[in-house]
Amino acid sequence: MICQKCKKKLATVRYAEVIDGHVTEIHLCPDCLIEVQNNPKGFKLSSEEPQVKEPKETIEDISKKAKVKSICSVCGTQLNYIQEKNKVGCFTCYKNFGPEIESILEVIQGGGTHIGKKLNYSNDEERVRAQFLLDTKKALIRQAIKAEDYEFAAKLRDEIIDLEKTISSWKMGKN
Amino acid sequence: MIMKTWVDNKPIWWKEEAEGAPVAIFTVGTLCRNVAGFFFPVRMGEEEKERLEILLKEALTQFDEFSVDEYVSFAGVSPREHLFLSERFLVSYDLLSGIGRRGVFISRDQRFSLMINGGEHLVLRSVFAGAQVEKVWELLNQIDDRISKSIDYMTDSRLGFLTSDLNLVGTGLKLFVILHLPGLARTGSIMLWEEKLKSLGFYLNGIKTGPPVDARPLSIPKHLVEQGFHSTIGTPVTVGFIETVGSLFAIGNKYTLGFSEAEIVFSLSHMVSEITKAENDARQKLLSSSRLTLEDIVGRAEGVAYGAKFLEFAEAIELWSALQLGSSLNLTSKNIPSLPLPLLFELQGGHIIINLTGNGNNTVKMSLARASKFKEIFKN
Repeated sequence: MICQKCKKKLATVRYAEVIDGHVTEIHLCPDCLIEVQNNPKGFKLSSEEPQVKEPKETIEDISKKAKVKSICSVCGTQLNYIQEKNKVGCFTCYKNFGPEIESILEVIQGGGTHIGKKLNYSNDEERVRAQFLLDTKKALIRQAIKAEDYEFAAKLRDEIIDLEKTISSWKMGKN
Repeated sequence: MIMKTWVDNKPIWWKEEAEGAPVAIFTVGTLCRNVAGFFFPVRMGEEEKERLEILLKEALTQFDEFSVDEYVSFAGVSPREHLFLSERFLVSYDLLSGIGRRGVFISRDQRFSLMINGGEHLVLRSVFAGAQVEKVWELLNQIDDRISKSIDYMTDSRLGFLTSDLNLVGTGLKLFVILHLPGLARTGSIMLWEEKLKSLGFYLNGIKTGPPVDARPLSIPKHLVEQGFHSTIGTPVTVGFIETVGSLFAIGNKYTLGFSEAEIVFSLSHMVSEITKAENDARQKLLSSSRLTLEDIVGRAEGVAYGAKFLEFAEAIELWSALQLGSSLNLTSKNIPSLPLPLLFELQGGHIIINLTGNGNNTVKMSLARASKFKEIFKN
């Protein structure tokens, strides 16, 4: 079919416009389509190419993020296990899946914060830091065993035992 | 040897004057704590479980109540001989059916227990007769204070005590009272209580025999587990109102976050006292409106309890319930002034089988032993 606008080139696109509530359909060549799209008279019903917003992140970024987010980097607990069983695997799960755990607590506990008995640890920040260090070492030991680096794993194991003893023997108000 | 001591020596709370009795039967409190620096049991390897077990055993044997010899390890041992501990509510079913290194310290008077490597690192349990919510919390709090002086707990400034089970995070405190409510069940007004309690953050459920849903099966015949009442870490095994056995119900707190321990204790005590009053009123109403029907139920129960040679567990619990109701309304014959608390526990499968000797058909022997337990009440 010949383009209904320039009457010269071959029409390849069916273009529709709504003008004063009436739908008008015309067959256009690619050049005339661009011109019409740049100066529309009414509301477009279709266009040659669908308009898609550019994603801020690439697919690779998103899948990488999902992969990282859905498994606890320290104990290996999967997010769907936590959501299904309402159980976490380690201290770091609470940090890794903070918003997801908040949502679960909202449903099963009605949300809120702890207002009950508190143990006044004077070294709170140090305790949290040590806990993260320990959890990181535990994550590393899993990697070391996977990579069959048993020498490094043995070294980490000794460090973990020492750190566990140190942390668990901290006495309330002593440090 | 230790097991024999627990079988022979009855828990101190079996002999106590019970507040709220006979409606309130017993109160159970559970406090969950986890040790800083360790994964939660669900992700712990055997080696880590062993290290934690040693650490906690060292800390807990500093208590006068325990010695290392009194620790009962459940790893690799048949749960058959430990089943009665779950029926006494001194250990949770999760601990019995768990995997790997785990065990329990039980105080000599069987008033409290400390479970290691169950669903959480450390679970404190305390049981009192009747409705004694404050006393249960007081004891748990005291033990907790002592342990926290030598063990560093896993805590968070916003979420409080961190637990593996998100249903326990915050205070880690779960309390429940077992109630006998035949009056409210018969008049149907129990439904109204359920709604009221739900809106206040408490549950009221029927009690079910057997293991919790989704629990790992034990390496013992299932029918043995079905002949007893068990608990998860924080609650008894429950069902809807209709399926409950012996008109037994449990009331307890649903939430551990956003409420202080004092609030939970106060509200639960208040609710239990309200329900107890309502139950006593319902019984009096039933007595004035349907005296003959009640006398018939109680009279039949007395006849079966006195004459039966064999008794299945479910039937025995229904008999217990009818006789307990009759006794509270003075409808039983003079032979039964009141039902002793231990009877309810001693009718259970784990309690009966631990005292049976020899081979042969255990089901028949158990039914025979259960029937003879009832006869003992007529002798007194």
